[in-house]
Amino acid sequence: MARKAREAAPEAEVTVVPKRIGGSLAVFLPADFVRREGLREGQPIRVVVRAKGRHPALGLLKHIPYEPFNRHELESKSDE
Amino acid sequence: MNDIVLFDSWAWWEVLEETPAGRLLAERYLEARRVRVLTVDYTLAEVAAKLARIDRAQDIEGALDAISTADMVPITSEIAALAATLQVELRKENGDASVGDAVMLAAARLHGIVLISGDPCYAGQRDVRAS
Repeated sequence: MARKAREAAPEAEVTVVPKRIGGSLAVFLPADFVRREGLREGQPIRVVVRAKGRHPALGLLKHIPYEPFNRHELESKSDE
Repeated sequence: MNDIVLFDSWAWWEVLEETPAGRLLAERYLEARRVRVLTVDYTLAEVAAKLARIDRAQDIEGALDAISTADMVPITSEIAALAATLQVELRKENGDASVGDAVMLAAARLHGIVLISGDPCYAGQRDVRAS
């Protein structure tokens, strides 16, 4: 009877450097990670991409003269 | 294990304006690989309202799209119920504390995470920090 592959823990995470192949990026999982998580060829895995870089919100409203966000002022009736 | 924090409108505004505090928040939380940022959905309304109030309605869509990259937390009945009692508590220290202030703190507490805010009404709260 074939040994049942251990299911990967949902938190299993590894950082890899993708390799360009034509217009695609191929991701190779390191052998020790594959062993540790019990991954097998043909077994579906979910890939979550979170590239490190500048966040789209940073500086988006830099052109607006700064005044700190004040919830109390926003909720008051007066524009003072 | 990943860190999880909750940004309120103050925190997002600092990031959107790219103040020194905002740059730090972006680097420490938004751009960090192992940090998950949550935001209460009401924050979208607050930031939109602020932009409308200062005649920058044309910036609302872009700002909300950028904030929506965070994981949205809806105001559930649990959050609303806790917020009700928290507002009373906050008002003992600061008479200006609003329902909105209490909702943000309640959402963070129910998730067991830190609220990122520089709002003075949270002064002395153990689970709120501005950076």
